[in-house]
Amino acid sequence: MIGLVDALVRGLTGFLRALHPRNLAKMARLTPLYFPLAARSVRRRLLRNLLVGLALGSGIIVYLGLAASFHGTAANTSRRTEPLVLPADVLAFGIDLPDSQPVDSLKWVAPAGAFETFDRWQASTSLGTLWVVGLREGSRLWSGDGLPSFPLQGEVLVPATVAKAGKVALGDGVKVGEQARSGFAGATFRVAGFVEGPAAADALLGNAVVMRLDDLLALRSGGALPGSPLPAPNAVAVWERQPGDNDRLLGRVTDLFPRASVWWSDLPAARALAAAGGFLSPGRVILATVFVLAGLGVFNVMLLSLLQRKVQLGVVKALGAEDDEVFLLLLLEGVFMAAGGAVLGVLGGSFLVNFLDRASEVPLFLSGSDFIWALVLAVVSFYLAAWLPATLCRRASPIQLMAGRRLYVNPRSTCAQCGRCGGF
Amino acid sequence: MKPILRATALGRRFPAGEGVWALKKVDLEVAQGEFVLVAGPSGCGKTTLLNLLGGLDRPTRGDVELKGTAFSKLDESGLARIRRRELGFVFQFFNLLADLTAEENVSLPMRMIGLSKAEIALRTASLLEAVGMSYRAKHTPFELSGGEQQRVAVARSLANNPLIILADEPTGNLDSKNGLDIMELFRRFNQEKKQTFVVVSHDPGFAEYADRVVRMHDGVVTTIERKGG
Repeated sequence: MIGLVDALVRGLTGFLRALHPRNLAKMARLTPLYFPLAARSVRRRLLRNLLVGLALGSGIIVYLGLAASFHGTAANTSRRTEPLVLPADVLAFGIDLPDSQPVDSLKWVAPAGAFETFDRWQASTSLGTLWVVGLREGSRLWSGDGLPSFPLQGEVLVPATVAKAGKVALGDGVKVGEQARSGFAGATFRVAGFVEGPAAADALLGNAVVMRLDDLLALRSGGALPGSPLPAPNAVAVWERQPGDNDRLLGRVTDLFPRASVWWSDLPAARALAAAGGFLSPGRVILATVFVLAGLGVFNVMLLSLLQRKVQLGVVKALGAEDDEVFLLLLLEGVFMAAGGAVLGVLGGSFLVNFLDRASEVPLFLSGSDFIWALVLAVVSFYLAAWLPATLCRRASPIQLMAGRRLYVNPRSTCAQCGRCGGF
Repeated sequence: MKPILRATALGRRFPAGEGVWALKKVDLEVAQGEFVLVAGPSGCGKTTLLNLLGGLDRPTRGDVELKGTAFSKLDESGLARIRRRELGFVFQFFNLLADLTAEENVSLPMRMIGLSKAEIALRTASLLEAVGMSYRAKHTPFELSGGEQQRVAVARSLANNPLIILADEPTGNLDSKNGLDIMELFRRFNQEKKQTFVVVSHDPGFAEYADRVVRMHDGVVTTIERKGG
């Protein structure tokens, strides 16, 4: 155990030492010498190395697929929501996810003739459907929460507040309905009577404005929304993409519109991103698993390659190759595998994203940094996997290798003398 | 004659079980141009001695000096440089690199010391010619017979004009004819180019090739016989 820790510390310092310009120059000088040797060794074991490359490539493909999905979702949500400043009286919005349907339960009541769907706007994301429904200007809509059940088919009891504000008389028709996925669907009912509704039923949902924070702040001076025919809002629904801003935002809205009721919901974009994050979490587990498996693949192949060629590597040392050179030789072999896997992964990942982009409503795309990150991840997992076999070989004496003796992480410590682990 | 290689009180203990002294206390000197045969039964420490003389292994005690440079003073890189420039090795199992052709195997040590491509090509061709393997230059070890592989190995050992060639049972894996051919090759290089050889063999028949025969038993040198007396 002490030997292993010692080896890890030495490995880390060795890695840092290898980055010294002098050592990098040395490696650059030696690479042409060992490059063909490593290339041939990889070519001779093509199938095995191809499988390792495939494992690394799979890791990159999964990474690129997840990254593209995340970017696509985020950008799609962002692109479709940010310019959304609708001059609607009421907007309802939600994401079609089990835990994010803030207005699905909305029951409503509106005077007949004063209700018309303004617009139904829909955007598909990889997570589901994000939709927004607005009411035409001048429409009025009250909450139907808490209303008593209707005594007769086709008749309805209307809250007194609603009737007064909407100038609804007994026998008039009103529209009553529930928010549905398809929008504000409702049927016309005849007013059979008036009831004192609960507080929720008195809340005026109509004549509200949904806007982005920037637009809201533009109203600091009060009055109408610039360029909008709407009057000053008596209710404000706030929609901002940064969840952390909500509390601050609500405070400012209250300051700006002290007489308006503020209605706000969880933020679609933030929800989409959070949901995307939720979606990515299992994705990350898969990704980590794929990279670990790929790393184990590299580790196994490198170890096998070393153990099968102890004698050959010993001969290279006997002929005068320094320890670092043998380390370089093995790393180069690993580089060939990783390079093959990286090319495979980048091509496969690009193809997959391109295919999914065409097949799905959600635009998927990759940025240059995704490719860089995928390659960095592949290189790191490769290096971690290749380090131990290469280190074992670097530290062994030529005769240890040529005689096929067991190799220990640290041959000059108690590790080798203990030998309980059996070595390699 | 002043020795170029000197082993002083050389001992090597292997940690198996209670610890085994494969080499107990050996003193040996090898002069420039000398052909030394180390003989003895299996397990007497011949190969261990050769490994220590070649800097392939570290002694438990004692030291080896090559042209006045003590191996104990050198780190692993220093030893590697000595092996690269001053020593040539021939092994019982040839130990050619399977991924390389005959000429690439011969040129590898030269590439390690950074000779120019032209010089490497020239010298490789000359060495393969000298061991009679020019016609097999492009063949990989798998395509060569044992005798041919050993010839290539001899050419490789001569690649960097080493001070000494250390050969460990170079004929041990060959039939008698090929074995004699290799020993003849050694004698030719020794006599024509004054190349120094230290050859380990348990074949008493090879004593005639050597200037000196060092006989070993149980990890110690028992006798040293000089040619002609």
